[in-house]
Amino acid sequence: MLAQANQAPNTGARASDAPKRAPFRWGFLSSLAVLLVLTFSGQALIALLRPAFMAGKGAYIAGGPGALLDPALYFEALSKGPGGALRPALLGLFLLASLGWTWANRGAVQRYFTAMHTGVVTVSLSLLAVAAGVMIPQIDPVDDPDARVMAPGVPGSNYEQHYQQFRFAQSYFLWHLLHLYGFGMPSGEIPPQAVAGLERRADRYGSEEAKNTEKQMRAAIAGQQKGQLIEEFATRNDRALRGFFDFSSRFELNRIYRSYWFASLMGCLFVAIAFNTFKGGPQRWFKVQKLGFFLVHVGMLILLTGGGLSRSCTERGIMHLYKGGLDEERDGTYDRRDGDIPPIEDTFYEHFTADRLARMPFGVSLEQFARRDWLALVVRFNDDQGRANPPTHTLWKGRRIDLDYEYLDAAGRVLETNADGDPIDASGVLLAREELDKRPRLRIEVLSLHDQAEVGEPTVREAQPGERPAGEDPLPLAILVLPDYQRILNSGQPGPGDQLPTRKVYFSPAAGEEFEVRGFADPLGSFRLLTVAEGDPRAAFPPSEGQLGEISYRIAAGGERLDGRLPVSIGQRLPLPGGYEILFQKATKSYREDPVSGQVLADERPLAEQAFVAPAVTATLYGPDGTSEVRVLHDRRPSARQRSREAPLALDAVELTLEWNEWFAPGPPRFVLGWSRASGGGLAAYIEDEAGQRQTAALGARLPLPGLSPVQLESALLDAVVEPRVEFLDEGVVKGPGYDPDFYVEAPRGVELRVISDPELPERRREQTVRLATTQEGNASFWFPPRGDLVVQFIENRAMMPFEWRSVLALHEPMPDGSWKPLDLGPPAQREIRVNDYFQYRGFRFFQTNAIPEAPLYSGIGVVYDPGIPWVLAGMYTVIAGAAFAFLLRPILLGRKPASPSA
Amino acid sequence: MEPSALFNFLDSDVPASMGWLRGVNLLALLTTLLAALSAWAHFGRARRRVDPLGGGEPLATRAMWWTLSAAVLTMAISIYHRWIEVNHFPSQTMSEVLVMFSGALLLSMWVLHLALGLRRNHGYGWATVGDALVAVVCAGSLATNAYSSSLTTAQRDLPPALQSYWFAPHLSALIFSYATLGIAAAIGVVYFAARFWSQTLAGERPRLGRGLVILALAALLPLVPRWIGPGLSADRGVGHLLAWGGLTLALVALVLGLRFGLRKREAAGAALLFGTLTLLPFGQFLTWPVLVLVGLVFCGLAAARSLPSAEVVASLERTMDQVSFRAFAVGFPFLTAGLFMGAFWAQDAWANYWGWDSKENTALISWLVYVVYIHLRMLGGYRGGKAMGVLVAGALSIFITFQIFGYLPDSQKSMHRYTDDGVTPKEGMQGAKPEADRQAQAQAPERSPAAF
Repeated sequence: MLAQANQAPNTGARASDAPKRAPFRWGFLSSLAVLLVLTFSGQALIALLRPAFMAGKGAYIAGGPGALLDPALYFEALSKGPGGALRPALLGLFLLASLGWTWANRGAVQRYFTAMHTGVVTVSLSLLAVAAGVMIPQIDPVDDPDARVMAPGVPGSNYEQHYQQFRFAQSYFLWHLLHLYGFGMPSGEIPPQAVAGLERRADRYGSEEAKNTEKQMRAAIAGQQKGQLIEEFATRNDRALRGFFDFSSRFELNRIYRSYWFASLMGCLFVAIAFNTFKGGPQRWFKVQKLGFFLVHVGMLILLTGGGLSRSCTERGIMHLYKGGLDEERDGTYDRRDGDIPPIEDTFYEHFTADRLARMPFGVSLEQFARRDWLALVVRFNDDQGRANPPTHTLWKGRRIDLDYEYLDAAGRVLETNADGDPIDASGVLLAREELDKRPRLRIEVLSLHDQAEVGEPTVREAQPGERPAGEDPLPLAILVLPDYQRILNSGQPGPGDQLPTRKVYFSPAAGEEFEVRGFADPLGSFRLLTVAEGDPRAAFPPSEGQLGEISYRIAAGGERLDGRLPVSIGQRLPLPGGYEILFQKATKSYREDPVSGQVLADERPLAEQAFVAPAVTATLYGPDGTSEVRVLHDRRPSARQRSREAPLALDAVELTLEWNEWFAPGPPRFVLGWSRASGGGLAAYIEDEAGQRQTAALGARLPLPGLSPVQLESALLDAVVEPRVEFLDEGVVKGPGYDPDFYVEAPRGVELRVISDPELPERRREQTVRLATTQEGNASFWFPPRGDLVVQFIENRAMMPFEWRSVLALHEPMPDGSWKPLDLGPPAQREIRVNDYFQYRGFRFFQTNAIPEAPLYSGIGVVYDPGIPWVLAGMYTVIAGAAFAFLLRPILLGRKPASPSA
Repeated sequence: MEPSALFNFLDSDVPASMGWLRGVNLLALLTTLLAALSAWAHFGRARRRVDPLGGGEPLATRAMWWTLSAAVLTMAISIYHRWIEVNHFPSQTMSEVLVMFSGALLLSMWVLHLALGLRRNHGYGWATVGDALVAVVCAGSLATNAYSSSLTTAQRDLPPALQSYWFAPHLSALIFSYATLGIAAAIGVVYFAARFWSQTLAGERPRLGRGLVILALAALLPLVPRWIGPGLSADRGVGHLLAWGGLTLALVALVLGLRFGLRKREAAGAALLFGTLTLLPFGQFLTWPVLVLVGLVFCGLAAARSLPSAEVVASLERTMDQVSFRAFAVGFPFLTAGLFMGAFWAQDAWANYWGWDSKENTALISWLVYVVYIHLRMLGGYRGGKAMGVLVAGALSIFITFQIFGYLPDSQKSMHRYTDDGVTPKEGMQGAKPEADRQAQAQAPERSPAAF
């Protein structure tokens, strides 16, 4: 028919009667070729149009949405560069021509974008782009979207820094690729000397803990060896790696997701999806067969729209906030009301230059911040001190921790152990731990945890017979009630009817040699009292030889540190190591300086008559080279620091610390307080003076001492057990969600434990309840069990990530006069940030990003302004709904299996 | 690895969760063996053309069903105990995640076994295939548990970002989808294995050529035990010898096979297949065992001169194609939901729904592979080997996301690496400049959850 038509001359056949050419059938390669052209064309177009986009952003910042409608703005922006005004004209022509051609060939364009091969190729190319991003380390810091690798020679270049990261990352990957399945990989063998430690760990903390430690050791050892091998690999291949790095930088393969070609590819994906989503008209979209897929495609369109908005309009930053600080001067520097914290520049404000879309039109300060760490127990066995890191057991209510295992034979009897702690049989043969049954000797159960604990007055009692471990000395203890002169000074002299403020003080002759722990001197200067233990109390009265105490010295000489002590005696010139000498010239018990002139206000009375307020000794230190300087040595204050506000010390290699001993120094009359078991049972206490005169001291009564200070002996014990008393002020730990003011209360945290000895032996099982608090006060964070071979410590585990951190922000409006007016946004509950629950205000989202344990007032707050977020989230939810409908619901609704091939 | 470390569920020296997990291992092993017996019984009935709707199931099949159900229940108990032991949803460390994945495999298989109803709908022949699938999946679960027990089981505290209501649903959705899509890929692997063996054993090719292909395959078997764990490092010398010896032998066998009538295309295909299987960790514990299992069945049939005809094989392939699509259809919505739940979570934590972190990217790549699969199948009419090849590629991508991701170049700075055993977590502060406060950097929170 075609031949006949061709042969018939002048038949008048019109062109429209000729058979139409079959439309081009797109294949994978042809689709790919066109897609690549479109992608790179789009890249060029974006680069060319970017100045107009930035001009629009700037105009929007300056003048609001209305400013976007000025065409001259864009014309001017596009005119910058080669060609001048010709550029926008040519660009405009090109765009018009492209649009015209597209309209004229809309059928072909539609066929291209609706072809299956095009869809597959577009998705596949996107997939490859993302895959490339995974195979090449990306430089895409969140707060600087335009970050690029700079040229190597440029001052301040980041080239080398980024190359080193690239080098390691690629070497790590390639090295592992060449060592699949462990071929040639270091195996991380445990050194033999560590095996015994692992066995001991199993004995103490259980075999699971020991096995995990072993696995971690292997990984660490292998990792270390592997690291060296990877570094060697990187060094050998440095040239090739550098070439690859330069190639990646040149084609922006290390910032794929911020590149124009990726944005262009996403644009093509958007167009392809759009063409396929809306074909067939609304009557087709909402059919059960199509609805799910329609929703998925619509969701993708919304998602990509949001992604485009995010890409072009997002602003991010981090604010380093300290409690109470505010940017008073609007220079990006947060001022601190507390002068000790240095100002830190806020990177978020740094980020705001004139070409940024969003600037925060309000000030932000940190009203409240708190961090909660995980509560944990650390159990240390005395035998392991310095040899092993004990595990940290995180605590939660109901947790059970078994410790200190003993091994059993087949009959359930406890096996003996050798000197190394290894289980042995009756004939001394070593037995394998893995084959033996075992049971714990100690079990700790967590009864409750608390966020607010208070350490009260400790309970003191006599030790039960056998309670003190063998070999440990008894602890005699006297509890005295003394006037609280500090409170009296602060609040004024009490009236005639008022009760004198008092304080309870514990003294023990076994607590040490220092006078302060064994006795005290009356501030009114009437007496000195010392507690004594067994033996002749008169031995406590040393003959007075003018010794006022001791100095401890630390001398840096010849690269060494020399420590020692010397007795302090006025008028004595004593040698020190390193060729130094010291001459003690005078002493006072009430050293004072005029706060204005700095002049020393000397107390000229004899030492014995001076009030024991601020003892100090004036001494001259002589150096080996003949130099000398006068030093005033204050009680328990190292001399190197005391003059820090004045000129530095000449002989600064010598540090001297005075330890005044008020019991030895001249002073008021001395008395000793002693007690012992009375013949008829009970306790007999006495006061004895230096002359040997003894008087009975009754419990609960005022001691027969001279002067006005009433000192009462509340109790005396021969062998005291002191247990810190911990009270809990709340019901339990604060748990989210929701604002809780208790979270910000600064208080020690507490735990109540049930400790069971021999938990699996009914005949020997013993339970006790122990309360601990995370404070050094009263040693409340430690528990020393009676068995004496271990210590349990209760801590807030700051070594790892915290349990939670929260901040409450305050926002402030800038006033025309430069001041800040607080914005009323409601109670703290409305302004709190928790991790996974950010705070939002006027399009700005504030989230918790980090904190520093050493800086408890600091909170790192991330800020983001991203108008694309709602779009993207909506798109994602729509895609999920569509996928669920298409693959799960659709087969059920249609009553058919999903295997039917329906396009 | 010692058997007691895998199966001794009475060991009182291990935590309760581990004890129950060893019970799962025992049940999985039992189920694998029973599945093999059930396959044999079903195959016999298929050959004798027994009516699939009349009479009861063989004893092995019923026992297999009970042990599989018991394994699922025991796994749930193990996970429950682990939850109690660590005081949070047990999917933080790699060993916990692997155990969850293993449980998802068992659960998916249990659900699919019921939903597919192969005997009911297609007869004893398909029931054989179903049993083979159960064997493969249970063996896979056992292998996963074995590997996870070589990793540390220490409890780790949840950083603040992980204390979110998204933790459980995000991980559950993804792990379930991984298991289901993994099973879909396993069906694809069975498909390829059946095709390989039927083509190798049937036809006019000389026996010597075919025999050499099989020899090449066998020669590479010594590489298979590598995945068992670091316990074999002590005899690496012997292992190396066997591995390199095996590779050399395989190459020689293939060359000789060409000489003796093996077609070049088939030889190239076999070389590619063997090379890929050898090099990919994926091939170690999925493709090789399937190849061997199916090979045993086909070799047995060939020895009994009962090799299925081309029509039977084609029908087998068609049904496997449909079954794999059904498995995919269950898993894909969960993969979608899991992927985007990670975005929702990141948005809650850092107002940053997508940080182009390498874990997010590898998960996205997996999702895109399956998007390609849908389009090829539904718009392009792809069926059979072409479609199932894409499914296998998708599962490979999931495997990379799940296990290999930590080695990829862009993963060095990833916030998700805390799940990788033996790797110090990179706790870079989101948004920090390189020269930012070092203390602040050291204290930054761990980022988004395992966006698988």
